[in-house]
Amino acid sequence: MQLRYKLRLAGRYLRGHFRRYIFLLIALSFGFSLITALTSISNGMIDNVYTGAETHYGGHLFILGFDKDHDTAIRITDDALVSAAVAASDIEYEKIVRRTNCFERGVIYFNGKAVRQKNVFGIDIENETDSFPDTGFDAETAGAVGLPWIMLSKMTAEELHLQSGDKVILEVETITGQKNTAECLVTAVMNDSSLFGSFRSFTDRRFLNDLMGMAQDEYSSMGLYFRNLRGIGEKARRLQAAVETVLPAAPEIAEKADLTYQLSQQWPGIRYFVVSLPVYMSEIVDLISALEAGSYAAFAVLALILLASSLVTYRLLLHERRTEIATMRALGFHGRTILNILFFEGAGLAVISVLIGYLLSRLIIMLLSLFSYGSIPGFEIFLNNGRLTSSLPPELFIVNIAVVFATVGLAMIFPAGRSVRHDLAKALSGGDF
Amino acid sequence: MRKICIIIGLFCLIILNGVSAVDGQVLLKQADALVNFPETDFSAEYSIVRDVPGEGKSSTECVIFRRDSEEKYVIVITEPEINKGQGYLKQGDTLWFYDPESRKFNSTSSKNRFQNTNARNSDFTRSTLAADYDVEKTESAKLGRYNCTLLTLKANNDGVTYPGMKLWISEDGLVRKYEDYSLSGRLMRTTAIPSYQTVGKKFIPKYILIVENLEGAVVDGKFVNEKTQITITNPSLARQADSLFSKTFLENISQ
Repeated sequence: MQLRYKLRLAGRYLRGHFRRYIFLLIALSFGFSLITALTSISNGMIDNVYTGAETHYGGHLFILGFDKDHDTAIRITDDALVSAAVAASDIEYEKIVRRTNCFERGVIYFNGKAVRQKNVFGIDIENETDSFPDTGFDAETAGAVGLPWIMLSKMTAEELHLQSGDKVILEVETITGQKNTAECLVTAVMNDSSLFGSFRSFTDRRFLNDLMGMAQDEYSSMGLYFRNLRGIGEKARRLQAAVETVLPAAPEIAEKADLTYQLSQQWPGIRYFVVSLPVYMSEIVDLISALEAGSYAAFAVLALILLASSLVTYRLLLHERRTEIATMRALGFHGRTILNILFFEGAGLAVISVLIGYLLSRLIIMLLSLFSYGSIPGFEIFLNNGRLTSSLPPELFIVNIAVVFATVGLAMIFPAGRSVRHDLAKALSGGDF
Repeated sequence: MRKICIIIGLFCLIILNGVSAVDGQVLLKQADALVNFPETDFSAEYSIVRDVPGEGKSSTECVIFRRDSEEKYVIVITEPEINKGQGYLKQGDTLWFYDPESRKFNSTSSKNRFQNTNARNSDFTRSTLAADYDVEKTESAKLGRYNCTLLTLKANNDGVTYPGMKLWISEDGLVRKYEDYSLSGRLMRTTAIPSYQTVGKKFIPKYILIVENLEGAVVDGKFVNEKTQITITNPSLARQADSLFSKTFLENISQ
């Protein structure tokens, strides 16, 4: 029998037995929606961790200079050579950002209260405006501000009871460890309560350099942004090789422990390190792995429930249709042809389930992202402005669809096989097997 | 003739300025010598009370042992109960903090705050004013009942926390007050030492009052600065056992 006839027959049978299939359709749609919502949200949570880290560290791949002559200050003094190394590596990047960081040696004072920062970043706002879309602060606004500007985290602003437009005193330590201060105008309060963003502030790089006793063209790290993290290991190796040719470089850093070990060594002057975002992230990789493991476990349980309910339903369904299948056999349909028709029926059911399930999953995700989860301790790292976000890359979507098709296939393979092998006379008489 | 007078006048000014700078440096050396113990050890009990306006007072008690000749000190925290047994060990340029709970030593900076008070870890080491600062200006000043010399100092190395300082030295050569300034010239901290006690020929502060100039709160409509008062009792210049200036001592004492 030609394929198109088999398809037409399968469509007709599916319509004809639609009432019988309703329970299975509901189960499959609901199961698919849950699996899709679960994987989308967990993927969104992981994306939020990486996005937060990208904004925090300022890139995906970094060159950092560690100056042992100045208490291991992070400092790059030769931009020309570093830029030459990046060019020589022949890596295609989207953007380069240069940042100065005084880390936890920055304190914000306001009205007698002090809040120590975990990071005070000096940035080139003209190059990083898109990193702060919620603040509305850009190079033009920065140029119009008379005083040095500073953007503070919401938590810092709340602790100091200040708002945008207030003047604060920023205290930092110079690279030689002396206190220095300057008055700054708070130009934005960043609504970022994540692990990275709780106590960090951003100010102009050249201003911070001046305050820290660094030259105007110096910085702590050069960050390269790519479209995504794919192939980051290879890119890091290429950059490492290029840096090694022009600058005194540390050995390749594959994980955080390597970085810690290398930093414990002594050397004269500045040594350059090539570090990728996953190396920084290795501290929270366990957390991400746990999230992924939990998500896979929930995925497996859902898939099993779906399989079990499909198995039972198909068994009943095909049992009820035993006379009809026997009649088809009596009319001369081959067992293989009947099996094909039944599988096409199942495939049609799976397609409808996927469509309904996908729409349902969007609804679930939309409902879940209506609420703010920022108050859950330790959960902020997975959120975007306190809310859950979803992400469903095509490969993950294909896997989810494959699960539904595989479930239907597995659920029907044995009952369908049995139904075409039954004793024909018994089946036609409506007898039980 | 007029030109010659001007030149002579300028020359005299330069000489006088030089003399006063040298005098200032001598004063610094004297001040250091009065409170340092290069030939003996020093020990005392310190009571440190931090007063945060609007939040109340918190108290820390500790015992300090100093051996200036080897640039060492040991501090053992005795109060509050929660921090009891914690300790600091300074050996040359390295400062260790010991936590009996984790039983670990972590290196810390002498520029860090001591036990979250307004005192710095560097406040407990020997005085090195003459070595660390150059005198920029010397003038006479009255500080309460004391006739003082007011020295404006500028750090000559990167090792100090505050690059600028104003120092009041009374006629007996003792430091009575000092103000710490940031690199940009902002007043950060004021320290007053109203009275000293003597042990032998050495002077040890009785009270030290540290005022944080940037920290405080408005109380009853008035800005009140955060302050820390240090009271020093039972000072001694008796020789201490060598084993006291070691990690083992801190580990044993907390058990």
